[in-house]
Amino acid sequence: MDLDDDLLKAGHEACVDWMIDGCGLTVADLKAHDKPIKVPAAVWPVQPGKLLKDGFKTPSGKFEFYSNAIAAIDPKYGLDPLPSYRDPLEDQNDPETKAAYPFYLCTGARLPHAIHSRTHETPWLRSLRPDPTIEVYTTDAERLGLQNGEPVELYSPYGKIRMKVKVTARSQPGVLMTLHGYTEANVNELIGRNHLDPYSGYPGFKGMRCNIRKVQEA
Amino acid sequence: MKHVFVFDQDKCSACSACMMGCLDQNDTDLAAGDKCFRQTFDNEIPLADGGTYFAYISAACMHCVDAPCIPACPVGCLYKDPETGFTVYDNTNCIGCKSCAMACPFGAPRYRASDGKMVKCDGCNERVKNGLDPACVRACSFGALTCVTEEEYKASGSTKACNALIDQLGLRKK
Repeated sequence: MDLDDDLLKAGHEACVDWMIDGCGLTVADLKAHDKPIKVPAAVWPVQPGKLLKDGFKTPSGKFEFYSNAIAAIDPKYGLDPLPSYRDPLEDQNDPETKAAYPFYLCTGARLPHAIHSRTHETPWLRSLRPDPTIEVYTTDAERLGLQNGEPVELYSPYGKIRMKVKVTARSQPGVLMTLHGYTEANVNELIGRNHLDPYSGYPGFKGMRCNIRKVQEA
Repeated sequence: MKHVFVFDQDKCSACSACMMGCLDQNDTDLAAGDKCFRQTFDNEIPLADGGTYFAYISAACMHCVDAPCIPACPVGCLYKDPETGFTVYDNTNCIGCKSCAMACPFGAPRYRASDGKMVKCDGCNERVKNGLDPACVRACSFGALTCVTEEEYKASGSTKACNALIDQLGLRKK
């Protein structure tokens, strides 16, 4: 992709070496052995305080509340070196989008028996909640006339998925709460590809504007 | 030694680990339409003051002291194990009439379509007789579901025996 990044240009192994840096081994060391080898840095008992003694991996070597790395970035990108609050929906707060997609889709919910996309196909576990479910706050459900178990469509400018309603007082008004990992109702399809964390570039998979409507049973 | 299932609602979050223990112990075949003997509930009850009461419940056979399913069975499948006090069964002679299910206030006995027989929670009778916890109790991470001897239960001063619910609901014949 010819990105302006020396580490990426140095290739895959250099990147892995960077990731495992500190364990006392490199990819070349691992390749030299055909059996598993012990990690030299894994010495028990662990001695805490290494970073305080040797310094953190920051420009100042200190634990930085004011990030010198971010301060060095061109101010035109609008990044604050201090950990100030930013609305996670700031890229979609124009009046038209707000009116068309009044709900905040929170995909950060968890069920004890569902681990990401992994355990949805295990029959015993799946039996606990067989259908992909969207939790709707009681007053919102009342206003929209939604009942428990009713099929609905969730839609955003980027896609639509179908789920079943669970009315709950556990969330907040205006919040639709669900979990990720369903093959037949993939919440990530509702999230735009440019909805990114402005600091790290990481996709904002946990929150999005969306709306909900009743559908006939498919 | 008679045993008592004790359920502490304050410790339950309806995580359903008990159901997984039960399904595993009884090799329940969900694909054949069979159901777990134990069920969990996470009911939300709106309160007069605008708040919500979250009722987390795990329930299976209550192993009633005077179990109505026992006299309801026309072929004598159900009986009390004199050792554990659990309501157990031998469904060899079961004719699938569902009288036990109708007599039970909790719907604990289930009609199993795959062989036309009644099945129910037997309190993991064999496990308990051999000094083990019932599978659901073993799976409960929070100590919400326990199984103790009648003596231990009486000494604890608890009022949370599962079959105490029968008294609370006023279901017992006067």
